[in-house]
Amino acid sequence: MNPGKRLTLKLILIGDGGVGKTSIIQQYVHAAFAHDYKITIGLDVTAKTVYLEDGTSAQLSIHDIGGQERFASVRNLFYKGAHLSMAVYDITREQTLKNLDNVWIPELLKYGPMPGSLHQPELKILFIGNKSDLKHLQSIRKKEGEALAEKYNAVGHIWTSAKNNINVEESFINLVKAFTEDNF
Amino acid sequence: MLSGPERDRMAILERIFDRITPYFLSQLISNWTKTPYKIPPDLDGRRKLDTTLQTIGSLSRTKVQALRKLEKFFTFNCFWNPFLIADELDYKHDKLPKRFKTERYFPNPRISVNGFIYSLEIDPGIFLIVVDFSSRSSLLRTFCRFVLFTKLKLFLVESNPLSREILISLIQPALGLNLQNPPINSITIRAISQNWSRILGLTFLVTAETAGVEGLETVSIAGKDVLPGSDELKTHRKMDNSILSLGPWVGIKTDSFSLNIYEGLKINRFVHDDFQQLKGIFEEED
Repeated sequence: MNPGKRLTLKLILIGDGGVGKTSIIQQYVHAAFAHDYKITIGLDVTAKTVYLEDGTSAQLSIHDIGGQERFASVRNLFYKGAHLSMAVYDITREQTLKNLDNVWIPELLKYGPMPGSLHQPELKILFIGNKSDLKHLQSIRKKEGEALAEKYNAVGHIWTSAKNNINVEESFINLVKAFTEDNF
Repeated sequence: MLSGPERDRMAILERIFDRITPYFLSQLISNWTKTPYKIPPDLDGRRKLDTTLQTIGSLSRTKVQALRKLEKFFTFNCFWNPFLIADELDYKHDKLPKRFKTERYFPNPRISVNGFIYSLEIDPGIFLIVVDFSSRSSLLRTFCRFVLFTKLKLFLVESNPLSREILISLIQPALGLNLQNPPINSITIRAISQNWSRILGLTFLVTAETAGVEGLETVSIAGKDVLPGSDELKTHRKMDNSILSLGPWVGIKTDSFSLNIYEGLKINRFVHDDFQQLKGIFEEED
């Protein structure tokens, strides 16, 4: 790994509406958490630079996709060229994990990789179970999330709490690290 | 033609019949009549009652008072907190004192309160432990209860602050109980739904945190068999998602009990196999 390497990476967050994709980004980029829920219309893009221990810096273009069904027809446009993905589910809603398997990951794999490029880095996916602060409402066993992550050869599986800022930064860093270790 | 007092006694007995387990009632009547007696299992409610009355004969005032007290003790319209008993259990009635000092719980030197503990075997291996506070002042009369399943090593504590205090200060030390609070969450509720043949009710949490909408807290469904009913509704109405996916499951109702992750367990009937299954679910790790 070359010290001081500077990368530009497209990171896309996928998952059902209300799982916490925007909250994860808000916590990471702005250190903020909004208690009221506003749906993401279409797509939101934020930027943040990640600095790794070996001196690598990665300028992340973070794409936050609207999770509601009504945006399904335009979503495929946003997947192109993605290097990284966070597949987010809500640990209090079992259906959100099932939908990652049935809807989101297949969509990502279909539309994500850029066609025609010679060196197409493999898309790195990290599975995230959000709302870990709601332990009493936990509806999914951790091992179920782990099994799905393994099914899709994800770089990992982690539970976060955007509300309490638990494992949020680690998620971004670990995902970028997994990408750089494999591709450089 | 029954007299007024006789009608009252009949009414108490009718109510008791619905609440007290047949096993306990059989033991009680055997005690009173000094001969072994068993409530006939094959008779319907009315004939059971008539047969029992014939066996007891007329009810003395003492027996009526005892039945009134039992009626209160056997009213289970309350919530319970379940605990698992970690160590080996060797339960004997005499480990619990029959009487105890009450000043710690009712520190009023002007009005005396007497404390009694009753251990009632309501089914083989299931004991209802009643801690009874008795006083001339009706304001100070109260009781709290515990249910001990000796074979299952399961302990239920009536959900109120006094019960908690009595548990820690009196019951736990006397019986040497090492209690563990099992985590009860939405996974527990789901596990119950997967292990019972008929679910009569479900409650989902749909707050802003879980559902992303304001103005709602819970949504409940009820019926004879809500799981297949919900699936059928989804197909019938061509819905994208089942109502079962509205939010985390926080409450469930079966024939023998209801469980709510915020309020606790409510007992409808003491069915040993059901509690055995429930205990197994409590013991499962997340």
